[in-house]
Amino acid sequence: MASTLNRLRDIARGTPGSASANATAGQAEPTGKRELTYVPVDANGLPADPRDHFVDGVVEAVEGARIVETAHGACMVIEHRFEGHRSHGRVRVEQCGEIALDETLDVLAGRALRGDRVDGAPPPRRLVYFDLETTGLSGGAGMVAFLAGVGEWRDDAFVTTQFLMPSFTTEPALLHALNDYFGDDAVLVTYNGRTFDVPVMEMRGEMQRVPQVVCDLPHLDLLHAARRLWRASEAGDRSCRLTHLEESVLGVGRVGDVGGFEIPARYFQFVRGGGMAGLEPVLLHNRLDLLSLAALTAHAQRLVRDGREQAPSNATAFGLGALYERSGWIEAALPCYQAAADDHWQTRELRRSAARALARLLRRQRRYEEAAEAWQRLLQLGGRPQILREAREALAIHHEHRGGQLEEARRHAVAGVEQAIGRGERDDFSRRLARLERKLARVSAEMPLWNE
Amino acid sequence: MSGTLARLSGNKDQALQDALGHLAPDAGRAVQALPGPEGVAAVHAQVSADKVVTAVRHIPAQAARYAPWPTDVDPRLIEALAARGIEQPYSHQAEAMAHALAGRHVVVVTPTASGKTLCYNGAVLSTVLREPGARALFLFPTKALAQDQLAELQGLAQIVGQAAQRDIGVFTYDGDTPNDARRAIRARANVVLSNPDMLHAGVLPHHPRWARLFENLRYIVIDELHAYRGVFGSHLANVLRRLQRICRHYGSNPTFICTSATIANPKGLAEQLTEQPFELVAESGAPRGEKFFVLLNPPVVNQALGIRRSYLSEARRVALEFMRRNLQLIVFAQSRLATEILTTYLKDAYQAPPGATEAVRGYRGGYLPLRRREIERGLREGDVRAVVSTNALELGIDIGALDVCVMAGYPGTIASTWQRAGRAGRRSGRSAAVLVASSAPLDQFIVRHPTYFFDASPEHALINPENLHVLLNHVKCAAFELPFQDGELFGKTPVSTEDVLQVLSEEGFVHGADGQWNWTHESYPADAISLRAITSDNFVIVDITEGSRVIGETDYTSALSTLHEKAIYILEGALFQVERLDIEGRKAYVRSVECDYYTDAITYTKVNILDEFESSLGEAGQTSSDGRSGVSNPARNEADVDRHPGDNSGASEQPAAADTDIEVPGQAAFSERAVPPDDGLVPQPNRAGRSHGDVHVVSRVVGFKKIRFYTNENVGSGDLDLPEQQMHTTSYWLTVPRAVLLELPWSPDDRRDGISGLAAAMRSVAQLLLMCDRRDLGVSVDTGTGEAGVGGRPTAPATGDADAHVFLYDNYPGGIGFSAPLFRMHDQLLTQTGQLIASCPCEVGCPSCVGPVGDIGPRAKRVALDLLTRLQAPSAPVDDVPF
Repeated sequence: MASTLNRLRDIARGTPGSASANATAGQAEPTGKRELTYVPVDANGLPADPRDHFVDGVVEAVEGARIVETAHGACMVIEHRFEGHRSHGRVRVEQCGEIALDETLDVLAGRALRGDRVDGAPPPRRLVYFDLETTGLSGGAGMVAFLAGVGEWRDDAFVTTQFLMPSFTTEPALLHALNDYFGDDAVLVTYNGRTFDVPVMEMRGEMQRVPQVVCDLPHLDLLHAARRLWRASEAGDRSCRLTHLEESVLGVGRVGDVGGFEIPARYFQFVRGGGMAGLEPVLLHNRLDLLSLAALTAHAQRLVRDGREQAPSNATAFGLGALYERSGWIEAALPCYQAAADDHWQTRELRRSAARALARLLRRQRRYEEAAEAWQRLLQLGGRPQILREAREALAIHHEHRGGQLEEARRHAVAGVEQAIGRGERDDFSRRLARLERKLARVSAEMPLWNE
Repeated sequence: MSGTLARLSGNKDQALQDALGHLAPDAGRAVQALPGPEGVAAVHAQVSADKVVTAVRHIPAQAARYAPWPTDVDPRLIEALAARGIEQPYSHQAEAMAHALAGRHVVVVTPTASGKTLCYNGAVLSTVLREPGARALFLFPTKALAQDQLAELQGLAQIVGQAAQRDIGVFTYDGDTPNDARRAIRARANVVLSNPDMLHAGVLPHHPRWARLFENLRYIVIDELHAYRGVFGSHLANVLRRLQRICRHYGSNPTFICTSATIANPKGLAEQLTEQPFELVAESGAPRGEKFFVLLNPPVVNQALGIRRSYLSEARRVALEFMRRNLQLIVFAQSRLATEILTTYLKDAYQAPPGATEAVRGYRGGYLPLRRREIERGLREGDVRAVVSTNALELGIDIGALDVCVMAGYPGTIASTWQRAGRAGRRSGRSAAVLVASSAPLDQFIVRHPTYFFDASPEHALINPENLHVLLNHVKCAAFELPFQDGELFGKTPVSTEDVLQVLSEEGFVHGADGQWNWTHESYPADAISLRAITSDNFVIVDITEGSRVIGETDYTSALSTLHEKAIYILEGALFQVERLDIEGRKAYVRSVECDYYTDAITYTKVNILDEFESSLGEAGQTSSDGRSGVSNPARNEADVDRHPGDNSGASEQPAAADTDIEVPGQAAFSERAVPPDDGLVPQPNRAGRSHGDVHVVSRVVGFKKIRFYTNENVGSGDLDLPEQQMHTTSYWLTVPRAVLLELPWSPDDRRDGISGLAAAMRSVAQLLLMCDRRDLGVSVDTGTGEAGVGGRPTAPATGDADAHVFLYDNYPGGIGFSAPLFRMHDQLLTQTGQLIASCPCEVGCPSCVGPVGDIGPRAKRVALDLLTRLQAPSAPVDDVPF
């Protein structure tokens, strides 16, 4: 039997060796492997006894921690207050309390958060920030959300409540406790929750057969608004990670923050009896994520409310325009785009994007003359052939069908043929050009008739 | 009208007979001599081993046997089927449906075109009609097969659904399914058509999303069951353990419906894969017309080297004989390259009638689906007169019934040969199948021993679900899917689940607490496991001909011998040469080349015996490692002394003991605890020792040979310096007792050559008996000096100082279940090896028997035969056993 175990060990370690041929049972393990295992050690460097259950003494050691008994078992809950007068980077925590559940928040969400509830439930009135820590990023039944953090403004403070699974068997308790917390009057605010946190909770609920309230709440995923607002400006790098924005927008600098990649390992260490010490940085990380999310939401809402005039830069104004347009606030969006397209301090790329957005929006509004001006602006800015092609085509169409300026249309069609990439594009322009030539020929043929 | 049809079909029969007559003069006589369609028993005329046509067999027509609908079948289904022209099921369809509807697991053995789909579609649709919530999961070995079945099943489901005023959802779910469609499929599908790979990596790990499917799962259909053998089957058995574990979690207990081509152990394979008891439906009630089966060997052009005329040219000649008489045919080739060559040959040679645009088509994987559908339609409608295909058309894709099947090269297994032959043959009227042998050893054995081919039971499909590598990986996946409860067993594996979890816990993959074991790792374990390989440690092959793109993967075990520098890597018939092998980075960089040779690595191999599970040493007085040698000194049984287990005088040659033992090779091969008592074995009448057990294989690739395609000539070589590889696997081994070695009236060098020639031939025959690929089995010879062998051949002369051994080991870490069955088939193995060598017309050895003379030495063939004769002699030297 010992040989089977040894062979299994070899295979599990990915060392297809001959250990089973000569190693005898009880021989010391290869020491090089030790650091890669998750066996926790006690103060003397000996393997810790996993039966030392954490509950005794540990709960008291963590500030704000208590055990909540649910009908489905016990769950550990850690509550923490960020007082309103304290600062978080350049902003004060109390700004989180100024967020209003109004139409400007709908603009951030891109949907009506207070939509009509047909089932007679009370209208939502609480904003609840939500962030999970999980045992991986892979998805699937084996990935567990061991920590669910929620935060909301309450009694002059931003209060976070963290639900922690002290062991795997307590997951149903956590899921029930979370359902109780949310109730049915909450609006959910997350960062990338639409693709991660909510589907994870859906999966966990299905797994434990505790359907999750959180999956049915009205939901503001700030990531999408943040991308529109900051991707084009220097405030956001391309990915618009929360930690990046909290630094560039809120001026928050975290010291000694735990990296996302080490979070699963810290939890595995904890469930093996490693104590709370390794997990406390994770709890703090999660709380700070919640606070930053709330502060960033407040900041974004203020931008939306104040509009272009107050925007810190025309890059942000362009982002605002995109948000307004998504929510149908056309009159607010147009000046944002216009300002960004006209601002010589901005990069050409941003100005091009703004001019293009402006032109498209105007065309959709059937304001063709203004749209043509915007396309013309785009052409002046130059740039990638794809963008220019779109402008050429739009202008050719405009002048041919609406402006009746065939010569002008022909000029754009000729340029389009010259600048086209690929056969399909060239063919499109060539067809258009041929038709224009025919029309022009007909017009010039008709001219003398008029003269007569 | 019907008179015209009859006359047409009569003309066709005549044309077929004419064509057969022209294959070779003697074949014509053989065909004429056969009884007409009214003949009762299958008769076969053996012509002669030296002739081009070596055998013709006539398989008489069989009328349809119908049965009434089982009482449980929903009348709305019966009505819908009647609308489609199916008034009554064939007997096997009725029997299978009755079993399935009663909740009994059933495996149906179905020849090609016998209406196997109704066996499961009938039961499933009937159940869905009765219980609208019922679900079924269909597994096909490939995506293409699932797609092919989709249309038919959807059509049927629509008609049935209309009759019942219900929407019956039928969907495929595989890697190509768009993301937005997946949610709808999970919610709405009554029937999900998928494949094991998708089930393993895309469905089971996300089972909560599929809760509705698993809660209501009534049937699991496994089509083409015979495809799940070796590594793939060993994995599938574990995937099915996971599937059933999840079904239990959701409270369902689905019934399995499996269909299989003709293999020796369909019931055993189904039971081993699913760990459930099965009902077997083996008698097909489908009608079939009479058929001629012809074995054909291209003539020898160089007697000394044993070189025959190219089998591809011969296949071309044969195909044209049929095409000229306006018979529609399918030609099967062994590789994509051969497919393209034959397509070109036939296109060049065939004068298509005016108007027929593309009468000859190629067909293989890699063609776009649209093009494939077009060819399939052309075949059904008759516009395409001949199709040249790889095995892509062997499985159930609907191409209608053709007149003739020509196989260029032996498909490798008896089961597969019949499957391909079944592509020709209508339900009435004559058809023919012609097998053109190549010079490969197996091909030559088959055409020279027609009785073996026609009468032996087809191969056993072997799997080893207890391979520790495979098992460990699937326990990981299972732990990811659902925590293991204390004391829970993973399927019925004899390996202690607790032990596996314990080891996984030590390595941080799981954690046991509060009575359960939870997955405690960030990874998604299914991603790291390919169902088509044992270990996940793979080399990727990067084509740098233009830019760089990954074109394939090879497992670690075979990487060094197939991807060393200057090796020719063959992918779908295209040739690439390896420019650089990055062992650390697990990459091989290859460039497209055109050449007429492939490479064969020369490997130093040394096999050490770790644990002998069973042995019987023919020559008394030898030591046995574990005291089980009691069986090696059997009471002599006179009846058995004269018995030749492999001489095939009867149809079912397998000794009864072998039949029952082979059903569970895994357990026997895997663990010392699980070795069954040896009482079922036939006492050993001869001097050869046989054993099987765990071995440790050390190998090092030291060089390579360049081998020309088709002729197998050695056209060059090179040296290599690569690291050593080690592998723990299972092996069968033959012991040549010292006394036998000393008796051989040959020099030690010649003895060595004889043993290695014997080993080469044994490997070919073992491949035949085991239904496996050539690379599935490794061979190593120890002449008694304990020195390593090169390229499966020993370097040291056989001095006779100690016993010599021939090892045939499973070429996968942990083994895939070949060793124990090979041990049981030992006698058959030796007898057929003798037949292979003795009947080869070469003078001193050739690639078709003991190996090329240049490699193997001048006397290898003679010594090998002498050695075999002595080994097969009764333990105490008596008269030679006649051959």
